[in-house]
Amino acid sequence: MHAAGSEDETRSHFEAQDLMEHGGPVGGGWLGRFLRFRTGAPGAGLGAVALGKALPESLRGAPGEGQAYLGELARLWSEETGSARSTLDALGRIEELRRQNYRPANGAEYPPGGFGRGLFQIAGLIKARVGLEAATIDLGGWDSHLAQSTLIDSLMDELAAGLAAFHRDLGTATATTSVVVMTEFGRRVQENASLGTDHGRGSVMLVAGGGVAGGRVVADWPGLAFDVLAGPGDLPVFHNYRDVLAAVLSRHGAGADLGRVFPSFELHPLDL
Amino acid sequence: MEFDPSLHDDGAKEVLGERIPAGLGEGDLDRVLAIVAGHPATARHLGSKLCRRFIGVAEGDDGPEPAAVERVAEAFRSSGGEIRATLSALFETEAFRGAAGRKLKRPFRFLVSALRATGARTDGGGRIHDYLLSMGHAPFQYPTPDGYPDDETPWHGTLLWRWRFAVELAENRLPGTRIDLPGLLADFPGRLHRHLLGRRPTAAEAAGDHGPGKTLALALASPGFQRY
Repeated sequence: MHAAGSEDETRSHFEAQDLMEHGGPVGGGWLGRFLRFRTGAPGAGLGAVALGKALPESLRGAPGEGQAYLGELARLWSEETGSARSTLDALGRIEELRRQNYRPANGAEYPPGGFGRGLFQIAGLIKARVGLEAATIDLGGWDSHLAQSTLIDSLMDELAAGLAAFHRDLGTATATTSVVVMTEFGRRVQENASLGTDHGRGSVMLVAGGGVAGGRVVADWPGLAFDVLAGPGDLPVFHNYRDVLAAVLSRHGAGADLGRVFPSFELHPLDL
Repeated sequence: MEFDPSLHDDGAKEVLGERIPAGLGEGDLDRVLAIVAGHPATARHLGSKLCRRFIGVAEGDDGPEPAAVERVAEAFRSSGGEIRATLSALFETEAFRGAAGRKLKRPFRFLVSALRATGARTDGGGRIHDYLLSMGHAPFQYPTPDGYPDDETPWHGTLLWRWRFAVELAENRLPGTRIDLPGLLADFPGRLHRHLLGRRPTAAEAAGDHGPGKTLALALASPGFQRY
């Protein structure tokens, strides 16, 4: 989806990213709100996973002692609601996964580095059916004001290789797994004096999996002539990111009240 | 801060609706600070932040108790921004007294309180930093300038690392950090929980005989030690 983005005009990383991760000027993230509001029983334990650093390793005491420690913890935390129970649950499921020693399927080869590793771990969690409902993973380094090609060429390779491996590894699970790639804003069309580009408006979003009618480019492409650009020379935003996300989310939660996930916004979900 | 007159725009300016005349030079900064400090939104914002830190936000609420915030904001306003008067008003609120032992320690506070309470000698380096990164509370890593969230809910997912840190600290399995467990027990004979929690332990907290290492680990990992 070209010319997709947010209505935020500040071109400030902080505000734009905050706005998009919160899905509008309401506290708390859109993804969190979606998981909370949608109908159907909430998944136990590993409902949501965020991978910036490593997936949590399981708790290990000295051999044989780990279980006793966990047993005592369960007792101490038995009066507390919520997080202790789901932590212990998640722990149990992660132990299962470690025993299974997951390997990528279908010859999938993830690119080296944290991004590839993270996708590999998410794929493993999805296929192990531990109740994972949503995962987020960051790939940073795109803010290429300077010498853009040296910064983002390899990132694009990494993104492409990672997504391809993920798709391959998932196999049939692709049908029920939506992947959305998004960023807080695009870059200015015109190159700056440092062989880079500055902050822009419209960018691109990628949507894959989950039954999307794929293999196409959605664009009301205005061209790049100066008179069609927004403000000081940016690609305008024709598709608000919420309309893209709403289309994806409605596939994942029958009865989801999308108006509450994206408040203060008149949704026109795209047909994906 | 260094003031460079050659780079300074010495013309008249308007900030938040108030006019700063031309020609004040470095004095412009004092004026801007006075305007911002005197703005009604500032008193409310600071009041709210201070109440979040010292009183906390009850689960399910959007912010700290409004009456307390208003008391603190009023103290800030009427004292002309005096921090002592402002904090004094906060500490006198019912809400503050009622908050003792109820606020959830964010990961940084949890780690530091564990290290201090056990008299640990630490290089504060690698392994500690890894824990903070895993728990999402490493210093200066928050991506946006509003800083790490100061209500409870975002931190509920950090339990696993807290439990793990507790056992690694108690059993001296953290490279770069060392505790003297026998010394600690000798300093607080039969009073380990009271020392750690600042109060008598409940029956559940004191129950069981796990040996000194595990007793310390469980105390640090217990619900009581997660709050202050």
